[in-house]
Amino acid sequence: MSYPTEAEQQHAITTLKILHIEDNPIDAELISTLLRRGGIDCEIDRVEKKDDYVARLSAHEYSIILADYTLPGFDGAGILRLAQQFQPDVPFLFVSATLGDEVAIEMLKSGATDFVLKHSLARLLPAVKRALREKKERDKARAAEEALQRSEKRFRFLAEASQLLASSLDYHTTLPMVARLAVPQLADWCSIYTVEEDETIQPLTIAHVDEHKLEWAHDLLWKYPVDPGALHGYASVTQTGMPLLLEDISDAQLERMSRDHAHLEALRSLGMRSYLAVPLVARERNLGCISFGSARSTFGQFHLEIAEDLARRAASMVENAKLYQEAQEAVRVRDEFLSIASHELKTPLTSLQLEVQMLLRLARRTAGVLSGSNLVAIGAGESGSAYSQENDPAACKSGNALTAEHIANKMETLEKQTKKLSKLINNLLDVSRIAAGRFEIRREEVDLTRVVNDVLSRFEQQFMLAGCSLKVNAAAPVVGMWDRLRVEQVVTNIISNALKYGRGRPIDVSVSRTDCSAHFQVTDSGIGIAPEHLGRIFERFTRATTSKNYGGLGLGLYIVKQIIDALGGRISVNSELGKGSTFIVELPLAGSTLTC
Amino acid sequence: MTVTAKATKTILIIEDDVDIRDALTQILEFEGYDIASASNGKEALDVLRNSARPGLILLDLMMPVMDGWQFRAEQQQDKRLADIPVVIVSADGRIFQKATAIGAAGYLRKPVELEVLLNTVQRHFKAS
Repeated sequence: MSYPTEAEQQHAITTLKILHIEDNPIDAELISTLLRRGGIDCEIDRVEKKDDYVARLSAHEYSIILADYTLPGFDGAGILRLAQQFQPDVPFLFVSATLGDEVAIEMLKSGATDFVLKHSLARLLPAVKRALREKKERDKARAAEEALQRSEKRFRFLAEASQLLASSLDYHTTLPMVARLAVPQLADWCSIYTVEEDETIQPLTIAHVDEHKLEWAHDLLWKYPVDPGALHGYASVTQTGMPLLLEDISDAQLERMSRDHAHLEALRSLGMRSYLAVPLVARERNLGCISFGSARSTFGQFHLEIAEDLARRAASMVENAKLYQEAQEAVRVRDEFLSIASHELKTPLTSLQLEVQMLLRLARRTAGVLSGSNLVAIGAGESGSAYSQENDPAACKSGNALTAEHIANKMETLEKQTKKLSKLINNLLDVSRIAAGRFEIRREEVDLTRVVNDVLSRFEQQFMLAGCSLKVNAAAPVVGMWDRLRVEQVVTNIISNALKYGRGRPIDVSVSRTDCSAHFQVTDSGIGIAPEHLGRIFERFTRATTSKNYGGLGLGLYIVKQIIDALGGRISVNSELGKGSTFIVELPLAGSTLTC
Repeated sequence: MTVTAKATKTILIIEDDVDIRDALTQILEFEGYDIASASNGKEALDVLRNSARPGLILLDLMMPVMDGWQFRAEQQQDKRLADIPVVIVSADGRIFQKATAIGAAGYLRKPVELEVLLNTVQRHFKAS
């Protein structure tokens, strides 16, 4: 598929170039005048000899050929034959003195367009005009036919490409198929680059019309990765977001485009007379680039339009594939979360329910016993205290009688468990809100020192139970614009962790400030965190301990980090396994960043 | 008033959550059983090999160190322990399939109903 360049087409329209085989100069002059007077703007090349004739025929393209029938050296039939050989589509008119009917008919049959007798030259002008007109019609018809064929080809190509693209959601398989489809229909080679998950640009595939060059071409792609500063290819196309068409590349240009001599040789071997690159863009996201090259012919508007259409379809398909993957992943994460949450919630619920049902049972029995049977009343947990053997085959173990003390103990356990459950549910709700983007921060004036001291006093009993001594350094007020409840949540969570994992050893808590930020620090000497867990400690569902005795859903620190991020702060942790951990929270004092 | 001396009726509870373990222990002790407990499969094997043989094992499936599946595999390989009936306790919705797969005598779905617990235990306990 090769087309005259735009420049060549322009030039052809203006002056008609006429080749006139005539040995009589006077006749030639007469004919020339007739034509010019008749309004035909022309440039006439007159030849007498066969050699000149052939030379002209091979050197120039003519709009019309006029020929005398009889010349010394060669005859009309020969002249016509040569014209047919070199420029078969050009109108050919005999302008001759004598031309018998039979000869004339024979010539017409052989492909001459018309003939005019020299003694009736009045016919010349209309004959020439008609011949030119018919040629024009023929050309138009042919152009229309060609345009139709091109159009069909284009639609067929794009339809086939669309089918390939739709055949699978894996663009790593479909795009190479499309590249192969484009060769050699559209180009001698076609390469595709895609932006991968890690944001890097990778060559995906290259198709080449020469099978033997295929592997070599592949290596080439990898050997010369994308050069961000290049004036061609991926770099320029993504920077401008526009396609790039280099119609006719000179060797000098090619040299400028190559990085070293080896690269230049490679490009020459690949075939780069013409080059076309289109970006793959969907929803303003750059997904890659498709490039085409032609070794011998040149690309034009036709190729550009097809390439752009193709790029649109391919980009849309790649985008869909990514969206689908993202959706699948989101569903998977949600399902995993639901599964874990459901399992985790059922755990505290199990002991809660068992305890309640046991108490209920005891209560009912007690009620039953007191209301009218001859059973002995329940004593205070001595061994051997009596239950009726008929009603209760189990021996009564000490401490299980329904005394007020027993009830109080049980209730305390139940309260603790409902609180644990409630906390778990709140954490789940927080995480769900964070995931849905509905996690809101409401700012007000908050004194961090005050919050910390409040939380510590609430934990007083727990400190005693855990046996952790407390050293507090939080005297001067440290005031900032934060969300009070959320800050409380952070402080509570960190202190609670210190107690939980503190192994009964001393805990240090301090609140301080610098010019720009407030600091809250908790140090314990407990079990510490292993280095391999340290990096993931603020992620969801991770627990640095394997023992579930420590309880919880692995969400606490995740939520803490989300809160601190939302407030523009930072949290960090230092820890050594077996020695203890230090958590440091920094919050901005003014504005929303830690620098001021 | 006669007090019937009872042969030791032991149940082994294998469950990593301390609250659930405590609740089950209290309930079953009240019903007259002796309770041995372990917080994972490995501990349970130690207990089994070094104490009185229980008439029933209540087995949680999700535990650290050694989970219910692994424990059951070990139990079935030990001739001495293989025929102690096992009732699995799980929060998983597909507990029926799991019980069948693991060859359990019965199952208890979390959160556990007290009545169901007592009935199941009574039904499957095998005095030795």
